[in-house]
Amino acid sequence: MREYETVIVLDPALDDTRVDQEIETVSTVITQGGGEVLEVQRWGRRRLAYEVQKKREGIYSLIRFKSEREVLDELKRRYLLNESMLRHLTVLSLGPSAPPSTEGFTHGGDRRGEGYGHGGRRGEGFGGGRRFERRDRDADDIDREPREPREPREPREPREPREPRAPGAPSSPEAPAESQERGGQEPGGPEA
Amino acid sequence: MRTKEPKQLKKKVCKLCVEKLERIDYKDDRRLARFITDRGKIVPRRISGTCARHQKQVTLAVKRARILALLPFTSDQLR
Repeated sequence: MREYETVIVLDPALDDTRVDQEIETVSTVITQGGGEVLEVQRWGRRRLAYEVQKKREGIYSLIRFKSEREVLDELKRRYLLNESMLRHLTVLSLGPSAPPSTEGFTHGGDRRGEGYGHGGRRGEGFGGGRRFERRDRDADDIDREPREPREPREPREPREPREPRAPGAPSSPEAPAESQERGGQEPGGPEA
Repeated sequence: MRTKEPKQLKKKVCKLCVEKLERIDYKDDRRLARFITDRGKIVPRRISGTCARHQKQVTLAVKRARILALLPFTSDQLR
């Protein structure tokens, strides 16, 4: 016998009596398998973090129970047959715990007011802060350290005009004509 | 140039250690939301400063929360 907890997410179209029925069914499966229901939490309607079967809401419920492992198989079998079950999860229970926040995941909004200061990007308190977030969005790449900002480069001094290359040098076929035309400046020199 | 300035001036501390949390609950979507990026990715330890022990717990909790639609898998789902 171990303690487990199972969370079920039901179709928001179900009315309260149907929800009660579903919870009842789960409890029956547990008790018939020789287990014992310890606690039933109803979190009610919550916004889903992503659409499931075109639905944006779900009715959440958590049932904490004690049973043998075999009961989990039976539970899962039933869950999968149940059409009004959007999501389900059964894990080892770590003891009583509070239900989550009521409003559901809203992007960004929930992070504010958590004691991280101004509530902006910086307020989240990750060292990389802004640069990191931006990089993540643009490049979808978080494998690198955010780079230090570069020091502004000093303007380069114009180079000395090069000596004209020896005609017929094997490495630069067009060198003699070009270097005369452009006053001997290198490509990428001061004007670049 | 790299060696002149230290990459990170302040040492990051694990926020969860500071809070003295023994375990991280997948139901605690508010707390977990701080450990995912705008795109829904789990923030690496390198960025968040979480210690190894807590990062493991965060990872597991985020994954569980995603299954239950408490947290998003990606930002496309946020519409």
